[in-house]
Amino acid sequence: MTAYTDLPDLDDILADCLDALLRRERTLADCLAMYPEHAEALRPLLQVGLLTARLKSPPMPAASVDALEARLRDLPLPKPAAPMPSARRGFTFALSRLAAVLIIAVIVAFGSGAGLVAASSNTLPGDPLYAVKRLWEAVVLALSPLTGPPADIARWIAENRLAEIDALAAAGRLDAAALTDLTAALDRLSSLTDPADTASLIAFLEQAAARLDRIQPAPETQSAYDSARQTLIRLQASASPPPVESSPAPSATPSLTPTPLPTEPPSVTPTATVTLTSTRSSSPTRRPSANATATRTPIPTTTATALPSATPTPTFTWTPLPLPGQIQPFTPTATAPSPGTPPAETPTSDDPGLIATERVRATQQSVFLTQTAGPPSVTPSP
Amino acid sequence: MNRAEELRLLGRAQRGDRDAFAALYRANVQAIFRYIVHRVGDAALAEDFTADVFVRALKSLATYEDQGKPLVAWLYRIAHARVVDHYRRVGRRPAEDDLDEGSEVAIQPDMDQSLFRRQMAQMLRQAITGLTDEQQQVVVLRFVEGCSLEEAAQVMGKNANAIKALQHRALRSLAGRLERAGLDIDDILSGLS
Repeated sequence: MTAYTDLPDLDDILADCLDALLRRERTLADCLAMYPEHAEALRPLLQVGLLTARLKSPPMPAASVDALEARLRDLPLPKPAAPMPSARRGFTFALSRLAAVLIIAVIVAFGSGAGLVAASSNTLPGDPLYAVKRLWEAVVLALSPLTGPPADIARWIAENRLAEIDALAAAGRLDAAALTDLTAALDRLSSLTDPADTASLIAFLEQAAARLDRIQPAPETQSAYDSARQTLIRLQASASPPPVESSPAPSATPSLTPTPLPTEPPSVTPTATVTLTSTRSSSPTRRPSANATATRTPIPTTTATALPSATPTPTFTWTPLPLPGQIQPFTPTATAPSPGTPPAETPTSDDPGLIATERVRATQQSVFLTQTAGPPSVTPSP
Repeated sequence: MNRAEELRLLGRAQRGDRDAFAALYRANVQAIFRYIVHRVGDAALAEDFTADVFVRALKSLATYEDQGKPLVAWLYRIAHARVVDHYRRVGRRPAEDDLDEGSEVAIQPDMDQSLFRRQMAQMLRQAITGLTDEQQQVVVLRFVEGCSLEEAAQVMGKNANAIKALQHRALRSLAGRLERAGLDIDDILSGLS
């Protein structure tokens, strides 16, 4: 049995060679020539990798795919879980209605409660009365829909967080906690918005993104800033209707598919176990690159998107806290696109090169190794 | 399906849109089926497990949080758990004896190419199902599904260096099993041309 040597860097060498082989950038001979000191250990590992990459299996039968879809459609879709509010500075916003009523009663009973709430309306994180402001928001939200539609209250709270971030940034006091609170407020708003009000939500998110884009975060808040931008992108994507397509949807083939592999020159090692007829030439072969290649869906990175907006820079004014019944509905400033058509059903892929199977327990006939094509007519130059 | 479209459908599915979930299902069902069939070696069983995966995904959809990874990474993890649970219940893996028995019949001079390929595939499949759960997973993800190191790392919840080490051990184990069964990989690869 071949002795395999576990060298510290063999993992990296093997990974490098496998990637190059699978991408058809190098042949097995090329890899072994690059690392002659590891050739004996590398050869069988790379060969097994190549062999495994040629394993193909037929797709799940279309009838089975359809039957499973029908079964899934009959199952109830679970209701979305309510978003958990942030626990920043010890605040918890999941107040029970009884607790909220008691708090209001205490505030009113002490007479100066209303004035205290009003005085806290323009406070920022770190100010002495900021806790009263957040508590009041929690009370109003907990008492919805008595105090107003939950989505409107969530939008009011999100607007407050945005205004605070603008003011903090202007004062050079923006911290990660404020951005985290904004993320939580936007998540809450998105989850409470009725699908019929998607246009309003999209417009709000666009304006929020525009306001966030005007901020230059400090290095210590960059991560939280990026997370807030990522949340906005995610919420905008989930709220946006699908584009209207005039052509059929592309194939449902998952994006991770292997490529056919280049052929390898025949081994010169004599063998006494197997005798097979080889039809390949002795020259190194390399499959032309015109065949279908593996596709990968790139994961989009977070980038700041400059959105057009006519929103003026908010000014810091004395504004009394809205009491129940006084919350104004948000008016979108941009016209949202009309809902598009639902995504067309994507067909399952059928590889004509694969053997179709029936529902049988034995897989001897259901799995096979792909046959490579013959050598190309042109040998690539070294 | 690109990432933005997937996020859009995910959001709608989480809000109760059945068509959106159906679209996500259609986009990922074949990848999950292929993954499972290479892990368990049985097409009918793979269909059952595929159904289990998507039923579980449907039930857990409300609590799914996007973390910058494709949805298929989450589905692969559910599929992996289902396969591990299966082997735990069954309590056995294909022994090396199975591989040896197959090799005595499979290799014949002037064997029909199609039959030869099927026999080789069967033996390789048996060898894969004899690996540990993690080794199976990395072999199927990396070489059958064509995932990059980073993609496989995302699915398996490991870093790229761990995947490199895991694939090394997996390939070494596979090569050893095929060698002990008397198979010459050089000739197998040659015979496939």
